[in-house]
Amino acid sequence: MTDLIQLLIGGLSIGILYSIVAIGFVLLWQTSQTINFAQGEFVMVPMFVMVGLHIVLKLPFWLSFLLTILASSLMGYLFEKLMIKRLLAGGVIVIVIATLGLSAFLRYGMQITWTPLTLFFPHIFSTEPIKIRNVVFSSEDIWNIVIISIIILLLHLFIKRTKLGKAMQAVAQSRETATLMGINVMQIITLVFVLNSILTGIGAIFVAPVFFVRYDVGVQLGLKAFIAAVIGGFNQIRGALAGGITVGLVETLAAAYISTAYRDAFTMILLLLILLIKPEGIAGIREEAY
Amino acid sequence: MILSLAPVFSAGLGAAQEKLRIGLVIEQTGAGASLGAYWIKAFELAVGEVNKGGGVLGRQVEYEIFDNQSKAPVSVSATQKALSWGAFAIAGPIYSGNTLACMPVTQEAKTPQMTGSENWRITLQGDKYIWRMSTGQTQEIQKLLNWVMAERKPKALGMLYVNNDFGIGAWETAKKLLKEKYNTELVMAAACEQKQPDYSAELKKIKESNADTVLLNLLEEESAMFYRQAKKVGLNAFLCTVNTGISVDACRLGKEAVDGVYGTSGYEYSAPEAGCQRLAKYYRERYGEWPDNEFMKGYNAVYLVKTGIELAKSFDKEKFVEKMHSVHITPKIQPNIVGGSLYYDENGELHSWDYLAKVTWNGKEALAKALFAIPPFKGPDSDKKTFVVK
Repeated sequence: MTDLIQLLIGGLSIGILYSIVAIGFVLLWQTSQTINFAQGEFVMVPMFVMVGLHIVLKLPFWLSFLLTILASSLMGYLFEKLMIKRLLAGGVIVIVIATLGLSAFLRYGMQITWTPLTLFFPHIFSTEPIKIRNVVFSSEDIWNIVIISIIILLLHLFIKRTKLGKAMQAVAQSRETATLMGINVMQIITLVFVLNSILTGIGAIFVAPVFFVRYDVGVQLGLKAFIAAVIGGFNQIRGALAGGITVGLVETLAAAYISTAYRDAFTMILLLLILLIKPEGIAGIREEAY
Repeated sequence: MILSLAPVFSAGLGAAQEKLRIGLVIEQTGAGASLGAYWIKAFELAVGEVNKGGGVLGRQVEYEIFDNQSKAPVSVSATQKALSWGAFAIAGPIYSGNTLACMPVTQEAKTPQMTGSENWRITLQGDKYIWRMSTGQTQEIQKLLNWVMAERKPKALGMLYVNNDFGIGAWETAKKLLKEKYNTELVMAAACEQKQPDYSAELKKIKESNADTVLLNLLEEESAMFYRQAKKVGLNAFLCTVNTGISVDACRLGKEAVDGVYGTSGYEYSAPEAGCQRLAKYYRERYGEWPDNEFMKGYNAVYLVKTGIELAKSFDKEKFVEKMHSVHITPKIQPNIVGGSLYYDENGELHSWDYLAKVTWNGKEALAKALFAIPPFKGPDSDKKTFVVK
């Protein structure tokens, strides 16, 4: 039993990291029918910015964090203005291809301009082991789970309960109708891209101590987050949370009880099953085809 | 008269301009990029030194990087490109899977290949054109296990290995050695994926197997990730590893979590060997940190090509092959060679000294310090004894 609890904590703490990256896929799809395949790189870039500010320039953590969020927001804003706005009319496929290109550009750009080496990032929370009745874990795992869950919950409440959030929902359901209702659709879309970048910036500081900071970390993260979003439900914020946690738990439990060599395979099998049985995802809402 | 002299002059000019080309087929991008970077820096240094010293038999050395993207199929095409470019020899790759993929290409082209890979199969393929730049995993694991079994006397030995040719080869080697020499077996063994961030499953397996000692054959980053997580859950087992687990990158990333880990390494920056010390000092002054052993391997790749050509006294590849098997290379033969005493057997397998090192965290950085020097199993130094490094 203690082993199981420990595995659950481990799976949850990894899964929650996938969730915060997966949210971006859901948010952007909902509001602008965009799939951003550079989402992983949108986490990678703030990681490097944090390293530059906090470790290289030795700025205080809180200041480095704020500046990283600002930089990340700017990246999201420019991404929307310079790329998405111009390509939106071309449809999803065009945007997918463009973001794949952007992903490679950011990745190799970082490798060439900064370093191909993996960089260290300090733990934000204590990693001293905590033992409760033979279950051993670290406060870092618990803090990651709690804080990211709160962030996702706050985002959910923001979208459901605030005027701006409702405007985002309106844009997601129908841009034409939202325009007729007096909503500035393009402004909302810009806001969502900036919001996504803020989230990935926040996610970066939780992800970095676990995954380390390297130019290609976005590939692994982006893929896992995408799978999490599909499994959880691409059209609901809670889907990102459910999907991320599911992927984290499946990986960990399958590796522990079946085989460590095929941990990723079980996630793929689950993905296939979900697509076959419940394509809207665990927490998604089935949409009617027109 | 003047016209008839033209071919003579042009032939002379052509010979003077002819260069010795080495194709560096390396992990410049992809998962192995951080290791490939060391080889690229090593080549910059070594080729510069060789050319400053007059080149090799009068020819300046020229090298070109052929990125294999850390992928086996791309290693094949990169090697083919390097051969088309006119490489006399190929240096790299580092990842064992990549070397196993492209070895047939260099073998068919009858071109020497200096690989950084450690999988035990590489030098047993009947390929006379391959040479290893570090001791293979059979020797390394044997030396590590010999020390662990003699000094630690573990009651239950477990193993974690990376799920690729490097790791699976090590697991196969460890299983065989434990059975044949020690009449025992691993109580647990688990394969880990590259860049895997979570080790909860592996830690659970270690705990339920009651392993008091765990042998690690992970890559640098994965080792650091494992150490950090093992520390988070307060793992009690004694950890010992092959060179990747006590490498500069593993120590840099793992920091205090690497404290107390023991491992074996051939080109340890703390090794009491003049070549290692010289390169370590250079790297520290130039880049502000200690070099990984991949830097020493890359450096030696250039000098081994030089050595082979000088021993053959020509640029004939078959003479190179003949001279570079069953050969003992020391600084007397090649002054800049790192490692002190390198013996290449008939298969291109390197037999040289390895060092058992322990990592200590001093509050600022985790440093590996060589404790024992372990002699090779073959060659002129094979009758020497293990000694304590002072």
